[in-house]
Order: sequence, then C-alpha cells, then structure tokens
Amino acid sequence: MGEQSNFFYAVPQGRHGMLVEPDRDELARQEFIRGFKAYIQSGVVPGIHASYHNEVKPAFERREGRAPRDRHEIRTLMVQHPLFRTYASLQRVSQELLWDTVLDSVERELPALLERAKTRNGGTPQGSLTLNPALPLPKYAVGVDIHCMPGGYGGEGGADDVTVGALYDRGVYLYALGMMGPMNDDIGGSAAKFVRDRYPQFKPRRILDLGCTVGHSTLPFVDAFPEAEVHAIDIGPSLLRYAHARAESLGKRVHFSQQDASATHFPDGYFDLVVSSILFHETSAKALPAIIRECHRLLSPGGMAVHGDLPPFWAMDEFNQFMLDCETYYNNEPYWGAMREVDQVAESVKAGFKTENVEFCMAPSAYRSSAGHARDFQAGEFAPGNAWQVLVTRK
Amino acid sequence: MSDIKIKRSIKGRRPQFFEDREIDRLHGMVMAMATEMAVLYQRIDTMERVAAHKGVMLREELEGFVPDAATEAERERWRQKFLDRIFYLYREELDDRLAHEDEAQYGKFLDEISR
Repeated sequence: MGEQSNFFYAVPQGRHGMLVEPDRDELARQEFIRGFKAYIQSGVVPGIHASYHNEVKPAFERREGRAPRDRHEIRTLMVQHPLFRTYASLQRVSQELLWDTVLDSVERELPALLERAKTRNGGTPQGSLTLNPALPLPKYAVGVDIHCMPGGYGGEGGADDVTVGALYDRGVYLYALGMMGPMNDDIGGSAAKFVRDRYPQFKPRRILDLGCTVGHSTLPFVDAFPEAEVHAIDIGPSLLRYAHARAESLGKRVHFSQQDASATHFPDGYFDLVVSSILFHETSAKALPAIIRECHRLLSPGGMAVHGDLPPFWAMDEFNQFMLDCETYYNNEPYWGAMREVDQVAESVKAGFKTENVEFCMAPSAYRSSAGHARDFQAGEFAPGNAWQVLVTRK
Repeated sequence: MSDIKIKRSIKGRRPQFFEDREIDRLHGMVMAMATEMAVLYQRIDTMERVAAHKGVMLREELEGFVPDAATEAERERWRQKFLDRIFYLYREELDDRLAHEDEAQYGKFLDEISR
C-alpha cells in the first residue's frame, strides 16, 4: 500500500462553456485540497494498514483465538484506534472543504453562469431538455446530501438554477483527484470502449444513460456511437439544466429529461443500450432491483445494459472492504456498503435476464491506458484502478 | 441579479470522530487555516515567478537580502508578539497560577459578589 506509483500529477480539468473558472486564490485552495486528499492516501492510509495488520489484528487474534470475522467487526476495532480516528476525521474535513471552496467559485460566477446556461454560449441547440416539476424525488437521493455535497442532487435554489451541476462538475474532478480524466468521463469512456471492443457488430440505435448527473459519462457514448440517439435522465432539475448547457457547449447532441430510473416514461423495448455510471451505489435496496427491472423492460431484443461502478466487496479482502465502507459512515453514502453485498447477477436474473446473459466484466480504464498511468485501486479514495467493474446484462 | 440561494451546509448529521467534539472542530479549523497558508504561499510563489518573467529576479534578490541590525531587532519584536498572541491562553493560565487563582476561587468570588 502507499506505493509511489500512486503519485499522479493530475491534468487540469478540461474546459467547456459551463465550467466555473476559479480565480487565483480559489484555484490555490482547490489544488491544495486535492493535494490534501492525495496526501491522506499516501501519507496517512499506509499507517492505518500497518496498525491494523501489525497491532490491532494480532491483538484481537491473541484475545479471541480467531481473526476478525468481517468488515463490521474490523470496524468495531478500528474506530477505537487513534490513527484511524484522525484519518476518518481528516477525510471528512477534506470533503467538506472541497465543496465549500468550489462553492466560492460558483457563487462568484453565478450571474455569468446563469447567463451562459440560458444562451448556451450562443451555439445552435442540438439536444433537448425536458423537466418534470411534478416528479417525486426518491428519498435515497435527497434524504441526505450524498457525498456531503451541499444541496444534494435534487437541490434547486430557484428558477433556472444550474448551481448543483456547476458544483458537481468541478467538485467531482477534485474528488476523483483528476484521475477520471480531464472531462471526468472515464467510467462512460471505458464502458463505451468496452462495448465497442467486445461487440464490434453491435450498433445501438438508441442509448439511455441512467443517473447521468451533468453528463460526464453520457458524452463518450455520443462519440462512440455517432449514429445513435442518446438520451440521459436524472432526478435533479438544476443538475439537468447544467448537463444540457454543458453538452451543448461541447457540441454533443443529448436529450436530457427529469425522470426516475426505476420508472421511466419511455416505451417498452425503446433502447438498444442502457448504461449507468456510479449510479447503483447511490440508490437503495428497493430502488436497485427496480432499476434493473426497468432496464429489462426498456431494452429491445438483442439490446444490453452496462452498469459501471467501483469494485464489489467480493473483489477485495475484509480490511479493504472496511476501508471502502468508511464512505458509508462518514461521507453520506448510505447505500455504498450494502450495495456492494447485493448479488447483482441474481437480481438481474430475477428481473428477467437469462443467467448466461449476465456477467461482471472488467472494462479497462480508457483514460488511464491512454495516459499511460497504471495504478491499483485503493480503498479510501474515489479513483479507479486500471479498470472499472461493469455489470453486463443482455436481453 | 439572481434570487438563487446557494446552500453551504450539508444535510445529514455530521459524524463525531473523537470523544471530545472540540478535537473534531479543531481538525476542521487547522486544515482550513492550512488551506489559507497554501493560498498565501502560492501568491508569493506567483509574484516571484511573474517578476522573473519581467526580468526582476525577485527570488534571487530575496535570497541575497541581508537585514541590518535594526531590521533584525524589529523582526524579533514582531516574532515575540506573534508568539504571544498564539500562546495567549498559556499566558492567561500562567497569570492565574501566579495569582494562585483556580476555578474554586472564582466560584467563591462569584458567590461573594452575587449574593
């Protein structure tokens, strides 16, 4: 752990017509906080691994005559440990400071940002935006502010608001330490590349991205399948206004609409490809199976769904599970841990997919392979390893 | 211009990491201050680099700068005052100790005055 190869100079975020441009001091703050987050990983986390494996675990084994059972038991031991407390506290502080400093830029640029969203930078509109103010916002998305982002996904500060998207766009880039690439699009980019490489004959006519937020991972599908009609849905109006303006400013045709992924308004069999990126872990025990069922309904015969997320728990040891699970307890990610225990294959079969058409695959990171930075996934940070885990279900 | 309200607080109860919540708060304060230090450092670094582009080798000049005795004395006064501000709580506690003051005594005094 803490290998030097994990040190990575983040490329500057890719600009577009909607991105907030931090001023000099804001940029210095944001870069410091990104550096602080990276430092926690390289400077603090290795000590926690060492304390667990060299002190906490052996002491437990001497006392109990067995190893700690699971991540929950490891947690009861580690929350007593001073270094772990410091780590968890600093991690939380870094997350709070991150959003707060991005909000400074958003607040300062607000009038210009609203204007840019309205005029979409003067370009010719290509896609569309359909809001539904009557849509009930799912409790899992708005009960707490997920990953401590003030206002949450569903927030709306007033008519024409785009601040949630502006905050998310810049904040996620810093949160991911820039490791999802300059356009924050590595999950979508890797999934799109995966689909093209693995199924070269597959030519989707219509594509749907579920839980698209600002469209980070939607746009790579526009590039990968230029013939396809691309739709993207999410629940937050402010988020979607921003997503629409962002896509327009980048010249990408996407039809955004405000819909719940578990019950959309699209007809049966409307899509050949349904995708989602880091959506599953931000849903709930009830919503996840419903979303998988909805995918089955939406897919045409021969169509497929591809869902990308961070690794499930079975792909790592108990201690890394425990470290990853800190997000559940300290970063307002209530479904983060539980989702990684769900048998997604079984849920897909229940939803109507044939067992032989359901599989977990590794989609090599498109950005990291192109940038030539190999690294391992490290629990405790929100950044990919060399590949994204994708659930592929074919109808 | 716009009526949009930006929310700064986070919905969802904040976890407590230490027995004493004040330590949690101190972590936040220390890191917020460290962030501002990084901002200052970056400003100075930028000044030096921009000056160098203009042909003013500020960094080299600063490195070569030798303060005279009066400047040194002034700086040392500043340093001591600065430290005094940071350690103001210790100074107050020291005064209390020198005066043999403790909390009980303050309580006694409070009774005396308020009754």
